[in-house]
Amino acid sequence: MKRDEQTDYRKIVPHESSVYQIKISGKVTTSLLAIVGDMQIQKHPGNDEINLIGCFPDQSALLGILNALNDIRHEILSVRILETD
Amino acid sequence: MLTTKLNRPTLSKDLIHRAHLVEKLEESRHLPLILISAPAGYGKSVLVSQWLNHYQKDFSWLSLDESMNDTTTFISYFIDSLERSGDSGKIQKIFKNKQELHFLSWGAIIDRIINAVNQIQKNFRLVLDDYHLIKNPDIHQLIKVLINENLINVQVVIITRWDPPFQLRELRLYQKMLELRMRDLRFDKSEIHELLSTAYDMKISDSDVNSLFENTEGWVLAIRMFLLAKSFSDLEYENNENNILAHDLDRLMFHISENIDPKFFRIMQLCALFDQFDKELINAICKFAIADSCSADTFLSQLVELNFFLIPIRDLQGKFRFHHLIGDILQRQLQSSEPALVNSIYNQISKWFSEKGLVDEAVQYSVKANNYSRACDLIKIHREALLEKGQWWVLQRWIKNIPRQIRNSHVDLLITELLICEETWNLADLSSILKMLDSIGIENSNPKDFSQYLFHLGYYLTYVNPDPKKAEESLEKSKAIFYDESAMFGTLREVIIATNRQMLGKSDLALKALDEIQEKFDYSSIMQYRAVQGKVFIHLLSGNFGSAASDSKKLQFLAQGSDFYYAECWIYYFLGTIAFQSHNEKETKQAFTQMLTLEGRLHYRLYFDALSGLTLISSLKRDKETTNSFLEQMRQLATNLNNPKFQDYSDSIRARVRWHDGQGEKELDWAIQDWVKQPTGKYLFLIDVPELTKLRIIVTHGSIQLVKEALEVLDTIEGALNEIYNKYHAVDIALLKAIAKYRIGDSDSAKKSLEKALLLAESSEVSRPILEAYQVLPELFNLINPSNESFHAFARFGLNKSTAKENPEKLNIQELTIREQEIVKLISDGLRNKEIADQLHISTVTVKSHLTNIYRKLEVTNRTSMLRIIRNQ
Repeated sequence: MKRDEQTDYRKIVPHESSVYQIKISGKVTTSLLAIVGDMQIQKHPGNDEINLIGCFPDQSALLGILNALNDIRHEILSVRILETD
Repeated sequence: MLTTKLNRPTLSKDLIHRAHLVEKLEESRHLPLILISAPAGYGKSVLVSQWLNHYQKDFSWLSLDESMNDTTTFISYFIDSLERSGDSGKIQKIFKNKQELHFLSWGAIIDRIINAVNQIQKNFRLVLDDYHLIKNPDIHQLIKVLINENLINVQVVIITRWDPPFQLRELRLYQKMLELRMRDLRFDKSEIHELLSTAYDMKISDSDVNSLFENTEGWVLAIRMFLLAKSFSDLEYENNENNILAHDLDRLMFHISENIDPKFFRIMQLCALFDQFDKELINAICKFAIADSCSADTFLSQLVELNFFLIPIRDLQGKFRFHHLIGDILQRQLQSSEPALVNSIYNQISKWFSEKGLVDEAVQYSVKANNYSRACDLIKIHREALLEKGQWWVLQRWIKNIPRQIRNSHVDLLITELLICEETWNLADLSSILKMLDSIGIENSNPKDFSQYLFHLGYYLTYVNPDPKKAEESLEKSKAIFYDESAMFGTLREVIIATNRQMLGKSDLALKALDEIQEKFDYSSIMQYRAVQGKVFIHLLSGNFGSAASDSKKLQFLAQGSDFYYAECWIYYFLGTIAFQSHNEKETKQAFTQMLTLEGRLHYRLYFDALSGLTLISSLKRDKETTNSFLEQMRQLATNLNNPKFQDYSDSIRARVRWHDGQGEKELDWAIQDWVKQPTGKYLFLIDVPELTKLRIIVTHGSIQLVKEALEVLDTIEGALNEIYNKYHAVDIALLKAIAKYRIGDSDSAKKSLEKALLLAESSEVSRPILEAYQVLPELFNLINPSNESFHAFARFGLNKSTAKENPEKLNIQELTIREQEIVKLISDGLRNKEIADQLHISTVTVKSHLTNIYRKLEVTNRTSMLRIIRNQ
């Protein structure tokens, strides 16, 4: 996984549910849709970056989606935890 | 296959019973899915095991590993684990044999599994442990279907370090799953108390419990590791928030290693290199790696005493493994400190397994040691024994683990791959591997390898891209260089040589050579069997069905009691084919039905051909119901097989059945696709060759222009097949030529072809082609002159001259097709489009389209002027 300045793993609490933003490269394909389920998908016009936003119950669930994205050859650009009220 | 993969972990005495979680699981026993997702060391498998044990549940347990990403390996374990659910009869029927797995499409495999599971009488749980190791999307698909199919008798329990790539939302939404996660599995303070007092017999203060809870966040593995480390000395555990626990475990492990005997610790590290170990393996490891070490007995008892994350494997006395995470740490430490030792021990143990006859493990550890040349040697040594048993897929699995560039430089492997290509009819790879072997200078290799290469080249030049002359040269050279009598090589070579001689017009020579073999070899030998098999091949290709029948009976006698894997299937195929050609319904059905029970044993092309025989013979008997049921079976099989060619074979049979029913016209669109290219390699002695069936449709229903072209193609095929002395299809071809000539109005020529066909049919003892043509176009036979010899043959087939009315030939509208002529006739009888459509079983749209063609050909614009022209003829 390529990290960038936005990835801050310290904020990830392993056993608590949080909203994550996962930025990946590539195009929106059916195999991607089959994996992301109810996550929100944002596509940036003009480049090959996709933002996925969704709530995960814990680290294992997050790791599940990251591994699945990796298996279908999407490069993971960043993983960010979104502050919730 | 390791049966230990099917066992749940044994519960050791130092575990506390987690009643509230066990109850939660029991309450969810009716849900389709239980997902237990948390990092290593949270006690996931132990919890499920406690539940199953406490409530005495029926279950199938499958501990997954990386090798199971191979679908065939996965399915083997999967089925074995299902069999343990208690209803093995139903499960065993899923696949008749393992070859099927290589030919069926994944969708078909899933369907079969779901149906079989659905029939299991009792409720059970399918536990998939370590599911995170699965990366193959096909396997995910299978599990998804199992969960979503709402099977009331099976519950899937997934134990994983991270979530599987399924969409869990819907299952959550409709409360169809229970999730147990890190936060549920954490030990709380009271459980830590209980653990310390019951398992460790320790009494510690509340503040110590608090600190242990904070440091480990309830992670039971860390708690135990921490206690273990602490038991050696006063370990100052620093609470450093920036350290993640994995690093701490490494540190704890280092601390432990400093406190125990280095030799003992070394054995632990070495054992961790293996999926599981027992006394024997430990002794072997010690012998190779550590001089004067303690005995395996002492080591194991000390390890048990130390309570060092050792997990006994249930039902198998004396087999153990380390907890995965601890095993990983031990292994990682050894690999980083002494990588050379790791490789060398894998090599030694591979040798050790090989000496014990456990070849699968031997190959596996050679590959782990990156010692591919050893893996290749093992494959080479065990190749023949596996092939004799017909188990080529085992070789395929081994070879897949060896990188392509290494395979390419290894002649043995390439040759083995050739054989697998032949078994799976993978013609593209067959030809490219042959080229590769040629380019790397196979002729300089050892005689056996070169001989085998020449054998496969001969196979290719015989059955795939026929060039009998070159093939014979190649096979004879193969025999001269290296002679052997094995079932899949030396003896099969004799069959192919015989086939080639036949293809060169030297049938007598071929039969004589086979006679000599028969004299030389014992009755029970494979060589004897192959010699007779070769004779049947020759007779079939020469169109001598009578001799083929008598030799097939001999073959049947020889194969009685033989354990040769392929024998039974070939015999049924031969008997069925011969009975089909002589239009013997009873025997055709008997033999082919028997063959169908052996599905997958021979290549699917032959199996499919047997199904074709059953369909066609029913269709010729006008048994519509049976025909349709076979057609449906065939259609389903074609969609289930992963090779798209079978779709074409199935389409061809459907077209031929319609041709029998006078509706071949509806298949014209199908028939005129790619029909001109006619490679002779596809003909052999097959009941249905799609290329020939296309011609059947075209000569009967095509436009006159098409029929003329078809006649040229028929001439070319006849010539090409004659060149290789293939007479199996000779009667069919002569009949098709007669139909074509009849269609274009060349009655004299048609008559000659018909007479030739009748005489040939009688001399070679086949009647099916004649009866088939008679069913389709009875008026053709009105051409035969009753004084001609062929008329007697015709009568002996039990046929009479057609009572069908003469076609309106006198109208001199031969430019019109037979169907068009029929339509003209019905119009002149005063029928309307709808009535014509009903009578001819076609749609009114088709009638209109025929009319357009008729108007164009007769240069008229409407029905009235068309009738006027016709009446003026």
